[in-house]
Amino acid sequence: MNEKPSSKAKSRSGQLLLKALILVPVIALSGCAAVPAYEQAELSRPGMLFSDSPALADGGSLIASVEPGTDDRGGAAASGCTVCQ
Amino acid sequence: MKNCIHILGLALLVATVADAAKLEYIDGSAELLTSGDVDLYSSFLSASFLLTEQSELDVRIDFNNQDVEYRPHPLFDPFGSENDLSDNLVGATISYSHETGRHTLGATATTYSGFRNYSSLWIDEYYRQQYSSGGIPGVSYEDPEPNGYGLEFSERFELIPSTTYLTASVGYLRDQVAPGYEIGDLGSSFELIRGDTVLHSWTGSVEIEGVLNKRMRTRQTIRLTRTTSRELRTGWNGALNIAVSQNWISRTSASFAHENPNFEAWSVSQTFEYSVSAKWSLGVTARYYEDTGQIESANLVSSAAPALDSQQFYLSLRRSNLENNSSFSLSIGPYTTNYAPTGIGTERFINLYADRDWWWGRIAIRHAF
Repeated sequence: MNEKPSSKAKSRSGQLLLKALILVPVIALSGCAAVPAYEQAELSRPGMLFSDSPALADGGSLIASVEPGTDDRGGAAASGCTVCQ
Repeated sequence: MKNCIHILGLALLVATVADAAKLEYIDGSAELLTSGDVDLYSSFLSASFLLTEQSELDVRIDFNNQDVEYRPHPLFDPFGSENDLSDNLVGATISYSHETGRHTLGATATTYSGFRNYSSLWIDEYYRQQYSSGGIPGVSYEDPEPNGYGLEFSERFELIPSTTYLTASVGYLRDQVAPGYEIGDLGSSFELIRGDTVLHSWTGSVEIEGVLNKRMRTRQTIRLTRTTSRELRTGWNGALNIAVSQNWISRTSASFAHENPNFEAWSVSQTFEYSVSAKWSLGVTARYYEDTGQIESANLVSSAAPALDSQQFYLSLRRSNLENNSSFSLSIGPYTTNYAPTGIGTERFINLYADRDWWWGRIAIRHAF
């Protein structure tokens, strides 16, 4: 079905993945702080939370069904076209 | 029939659980994405039950509908006919989580029945019109019954109390899809060949959510997905929320995905939200998305999408009740999709991959008890 990727492409992908795996936690953790509870008033506002509830989150699920690179549901839908030949 | 079994099974479970557990909150959403020839509707209702002080059960039912005006290309598919297509997707999800100290273990099972996107519905109609009448040696066209199920397990660890959380998850999904068809050249003869009908996917993700200071909250996610017949997909999502002032909040997010041999996609989104009062807020969001086109393994005919870029702009109104964590939101705005020209072998799908001007809207509610 798929054309086999070259070893160069595989190597590039591996390097990209390695960088991401190292960089993202470093960036995220380097600034993470233990903010005491009495200073978390601003962080606790509804607009500041990361939530799975659409009532508290941006974006929508239908947009992801149009954009193959946005779909994070996993599975066939998130892996390019499912019926491509 | 499968849809009915999903709903009845879940309804029975909800009734049983509701009798023995405390209903914490319900979530619901209705979403519409409409253009001149494609209308997409998505909705869900979920309920979260507190079983004990440490364990929680979530149940969710999804209902999606797609209405598509199928139009064949008059030059490349002269015998094709226009058709109004409609499909419903019904899904059910059940999640269980158990908290032990700073660890929360979770397990999720999900199932669905129906086409997951309108492109698959359109492409299947093309194959139906081409091959359902027979006459070509090899396999014959079969009416598809797209459906799937999946399992996911997760562990959430509280790295820094009340501020920083690390979540790792692994999942498996089995999708029965509408397959593609092509006429294979066997050297001395031709015959119709069917593509994969079942796809197995393994996914893994690591997510870290934390606060940078008393005004900034961030979340980063890395996800790996491996699906039958495809290379590994790597994806990253990042978000940063900033409480700029007492009334203003800024939310920035970005994503990137890569899959060999040559698929890449990225997006960036920016929201500014203004608190009108203690309960009401107004937001404005702008978003841009771009990809290099779907992975293509084309022979004579390909249904792979060409490169896509899209822009979205919407306004949001939200009412939040801080006393009981209930919220209501209404969002609406335009959305445009622009495809690069279709390549050789893909022209017959030129109407599927046409530029479109959409309107998107969503109403969502969370009610806590």
